[in-house]
Amino acid sequence: MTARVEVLPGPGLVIRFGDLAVWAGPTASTELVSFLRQSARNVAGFADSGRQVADHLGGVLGAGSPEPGVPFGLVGPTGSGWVAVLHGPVQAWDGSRWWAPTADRGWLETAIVPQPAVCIGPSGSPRPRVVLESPYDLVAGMVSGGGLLLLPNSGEGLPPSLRPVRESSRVGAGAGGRRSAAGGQPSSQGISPAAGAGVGAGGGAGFGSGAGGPTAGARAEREAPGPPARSSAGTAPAPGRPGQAGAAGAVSAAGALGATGALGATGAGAAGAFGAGGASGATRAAGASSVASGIVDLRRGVGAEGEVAPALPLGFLPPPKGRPEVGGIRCPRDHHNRPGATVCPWCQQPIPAGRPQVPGPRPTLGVLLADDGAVYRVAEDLLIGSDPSVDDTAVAGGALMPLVLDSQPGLMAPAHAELRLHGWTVRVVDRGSASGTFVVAAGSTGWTRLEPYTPVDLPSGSHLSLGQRVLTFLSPWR
Amino acid sequence: MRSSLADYQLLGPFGPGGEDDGTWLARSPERLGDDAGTVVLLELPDPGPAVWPEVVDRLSRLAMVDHEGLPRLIEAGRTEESDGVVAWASRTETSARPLRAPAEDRQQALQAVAAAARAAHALHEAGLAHGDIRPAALLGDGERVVLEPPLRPLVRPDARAGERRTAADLDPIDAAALWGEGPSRASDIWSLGATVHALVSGELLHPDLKGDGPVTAVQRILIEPPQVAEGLGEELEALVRRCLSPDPADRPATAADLAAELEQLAGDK
Repeated sequence: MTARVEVLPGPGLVIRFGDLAVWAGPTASTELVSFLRQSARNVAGFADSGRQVADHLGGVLGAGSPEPGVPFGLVGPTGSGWVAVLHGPVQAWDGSRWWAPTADRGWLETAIVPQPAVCIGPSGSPRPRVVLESPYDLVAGMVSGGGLLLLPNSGEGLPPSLRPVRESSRVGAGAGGRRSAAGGQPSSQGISPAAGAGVGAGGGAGFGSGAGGPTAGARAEREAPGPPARSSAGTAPAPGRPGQAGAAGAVSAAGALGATGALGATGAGAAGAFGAGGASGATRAAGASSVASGIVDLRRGVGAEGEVAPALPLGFLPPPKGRPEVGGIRCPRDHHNRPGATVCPWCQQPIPAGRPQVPGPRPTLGVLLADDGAVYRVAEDLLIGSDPSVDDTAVAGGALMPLVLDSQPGLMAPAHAELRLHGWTVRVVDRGSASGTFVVAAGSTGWTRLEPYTPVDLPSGSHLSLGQRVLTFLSPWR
Repeated sequence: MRSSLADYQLLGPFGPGGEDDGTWLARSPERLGDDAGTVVLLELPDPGPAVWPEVVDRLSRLAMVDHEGLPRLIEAGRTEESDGVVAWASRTETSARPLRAPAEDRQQALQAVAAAARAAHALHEAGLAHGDIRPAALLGDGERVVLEPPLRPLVRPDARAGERRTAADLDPIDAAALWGEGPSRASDIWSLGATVHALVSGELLHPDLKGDGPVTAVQRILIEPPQVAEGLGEELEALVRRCLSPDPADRPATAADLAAELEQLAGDK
């Protein structure tokens, strides 16, 4: 297997065979599910399994969807990239943009570039959090799930265009060239369970009776370097970015690269190194081998019909939603302060004595000032280290905000220490690091090594030493 | 000096920080069609592959703000040699350069900050704070001024609220933005006040910062109140003091309000 498929919670079904992954919503008929599952099985061994299924679906859906409005989507390889087919109220996130069928057409086929992942799920679902090293992986089969996340990995067998950016042989990111959504072999039989040989693997019954593999003409169109690859279908409104219909084709990595003829193209016209298009092109154009892993065209489309973000409030930003509530006192400007505070650090207004404690979202408790002048907000629990993301569950799950500190090799553990916020108090916890975490409290002179996994309060003015780096915690309430 | 970044040909560092800033004047490739030409190229700090989608989302939100006082964003991507690169083009001539304090002409300084304030207001109305307004973020070509896009604050991948820079760059930062939830309308207005102060007076609000190391400088900014220089003129001094007021309720309510007052002052002189 060359990709990892993660099943997301929720109703529906997730199917994976080879590198083809499918999500079907709970309203999908047994026949449709069976068709999708069998299709995936049939083409699982092919490097262009996604292309084959997309072609076939294009033929079926081009003649009219047998189950309009039923959500399902798939993503699979084309041999030079990835393709997604989305049907009904379904959406795909490629790490850069949402893709969704327009309501009038009802389905969409598009080249898609995992940046670094592709997520498919029902319309309205939130953007997923991508955990690169997550252990979850549906290897093969069909399970319950409310969506899927597909991450190509760096394993052997991936086409060069899909390898991680740091691999020297990277040749651009992306999927294949233009593919007409209505192309492929039309079928008048609608969607029905497949039986027999897979599409493109010798013909036969395929997905629907009468359907065969892609024609030579269709392949020639895909492989031609010529026309821009903007998706005419574009995207429909999606969570967080509604209304970017059509325009998003130009914004997405796929659209942007394709627009220059660079994405997955083979011609000399794709020589731009930033836009990818071949190692030789990169070398020729830039005198270097740098190639983009995902380029985003920011020039047009965005904003024309895009989301209208709410304006900033007057004054300072309030604590974001989701912060834990703590008991505090309000200043005359209604800022939430630590009990006992006499002056509000946000507006400098004196806080009269005797103010009652009321619950409110906890504001930022202070800053960590690093020895190089960097300032880090202490607004939530932090995991400090040379590579805090090694703690997948805590960091990727959002329980801990990563704070990356550079240090000499071997001195700083990847996950060295935590800062935990408890009410209005900040505590530091050593995570059993080899070189230890040391604290000198405000007003003290000596460093004290912390016991592993034993929280210690960190008053304002305290210094932390870890991995030969020094951090100073400062609180606005002094 | 490097000669290229991705398929952009580097022409030289852009801005007072030189190569260390990671900001370059560059010639963009032919594949950009009508946008091929001289642009500014910014190398971003490593956001990490998992954060890149979030960075792209933020950049896209920024690109949606179409205002004459803001440069156009062209594209963003990642390369083998850089973890993130953003190209943008100024709406001024390519000779536009960061303003230096003090400005030679007071009226032009007021007009420049007014233009920056209107650009900042456009960002605020789009739900974005700039967070890095300072004299060097105002790019002028002698006729027009645009506000450098707030790319670095938008792409910080972690809890970082600020980074080591020169004292002159740290000076216009509202301490409340560091203590609090980050840049906001109020903190951008504070920074605009600090910027006009620097351009007109040539002085820092924390005049002793220049001799301090980065840690001490940040500590002083966090703790010490700003000092307004003499010689601004009564009306401008009053306006600057309002911008620097600790209580945001005492500052101009919006950057557009501030722009109007600055334009009024520029017209009066």
